[in-house]
Amino acid sequence: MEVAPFLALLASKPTEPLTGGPLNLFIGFFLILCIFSGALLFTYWISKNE
Amino acid sequence: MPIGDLNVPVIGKNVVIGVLVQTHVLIATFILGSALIAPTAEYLGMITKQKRYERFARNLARFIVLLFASGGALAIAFVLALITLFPVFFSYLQNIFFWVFIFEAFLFLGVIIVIYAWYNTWDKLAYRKTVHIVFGFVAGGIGLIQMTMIDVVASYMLTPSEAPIQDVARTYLDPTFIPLNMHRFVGNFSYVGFLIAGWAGWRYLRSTKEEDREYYDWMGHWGLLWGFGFMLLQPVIGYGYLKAIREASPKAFDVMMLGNEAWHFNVLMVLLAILGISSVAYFVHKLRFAVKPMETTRKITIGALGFTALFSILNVIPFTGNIAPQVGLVFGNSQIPLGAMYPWKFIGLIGLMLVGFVAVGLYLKASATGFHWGRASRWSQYMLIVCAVTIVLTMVDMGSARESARRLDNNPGYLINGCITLNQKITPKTCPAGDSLLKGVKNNGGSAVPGSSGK
Repeated sequence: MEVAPFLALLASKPTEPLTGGPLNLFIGFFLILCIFSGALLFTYWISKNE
Repeated sequence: MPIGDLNVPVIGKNVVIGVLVQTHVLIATFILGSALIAPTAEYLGMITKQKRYERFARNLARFIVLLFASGGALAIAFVLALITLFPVFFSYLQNIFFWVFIFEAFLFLGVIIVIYAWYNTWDKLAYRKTVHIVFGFVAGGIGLIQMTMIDVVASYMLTPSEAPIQDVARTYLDPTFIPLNMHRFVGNFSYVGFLIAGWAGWRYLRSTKEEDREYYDWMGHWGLLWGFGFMLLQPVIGYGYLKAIREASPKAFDVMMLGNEAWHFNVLMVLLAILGISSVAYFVHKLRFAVKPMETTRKITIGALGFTALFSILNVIPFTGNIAPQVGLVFGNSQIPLGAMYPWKFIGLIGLMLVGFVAVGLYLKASATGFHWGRASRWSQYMLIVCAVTIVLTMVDMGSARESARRLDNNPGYLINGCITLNQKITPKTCPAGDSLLKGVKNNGGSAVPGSSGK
């Protein structure tokens, strides 16, 4: 597996939302929904057997 | 001691803070709102002797007790990220809000103790129900004070007080603190209500037992009453909040309503339209199942649905075709007359509220005689699920709007508006608190973080 592109990506200069491109905004939005729904689903999963 | 200027690869450190804080807020708001709605349901269960209130309250209490861990972990993660990625800013923030943070920490402890004790004594205090309900309300009350404390910090970051930071009272009572607090207090109920309704809709669709179908059908109705009922108050309170921002930080207001971040409000109007139309459509459907037939009431509510759609369309029309140049959403720069705030948006928002009050009023009148539960159609439950998804998007959108307003034109953007830039440089000349920020600060007076990059 080629790792150089990943290393290059990690070493790249960070960008800021909207000033560096809207991509970060979408990434942030996606992450929020993932973590939030993950927390809700996990909580439901541990609570439903009681 | 040198302070490092750490950054995060690919997404940048601002996104890290934004993601952690927004996720924390989505969970914490759910807990805060639920900690008041659940004791209310428990109280109603006690006085009406209807078992579904008790079942609902107990299930919600268990859920928030378990969810507290995730919300707490995210709070710690974001404070840790803030200290690591914005050490100078956090140090100043701690300096300005020393007492607020101390109080907040103890309130955290208090709410954990009371909320866990409330859930754990459910059976033990079964014969002293009033005491148990008071326990629940105390937990909700402590949570509310906790929210108040953090609102001080959030509102100060956008509209700092024109007072030296050593003046604790005036610093605490910054210009937008009270409107923000009101906006969030009402929003908590609305947000939780819609989420409960969405969850009920989902469970209703998956239930096979008649008893469960009746319960989840009722739960969807109960959640939507909280969600839509409190949402109707938000335009007025939100207007007051925006007015306070305009008076205290006109530049931030311009950015938020007319500048680069105005697209947030275009998105908000679309989301508000979805919430309004879905909710009133649900009411129209539900009125078919009223125990006492109410055909006239149903027909009036159908009219209300039409007006809700009409006012929503008026609200959705943008002011210019230049909606979001960041993503290329530009349809020319000419102004659209119907998109103007005055009078059209006022007519749209006030109309939406008045029609909403009529719809809720008629629905409450019908619910006084009761509904046949467990007979709702599938699409009415889809409406509830749509409302739940939409309210989460609304929360993220509005949170992002408030925090982005401090970016101004990014030359520079601010962490504390006018006082500390995004690069953690202190700017006493433009800060409403003046050079009181630097009083007693050694070695770092007015300088940026060593090695700081960017604008």
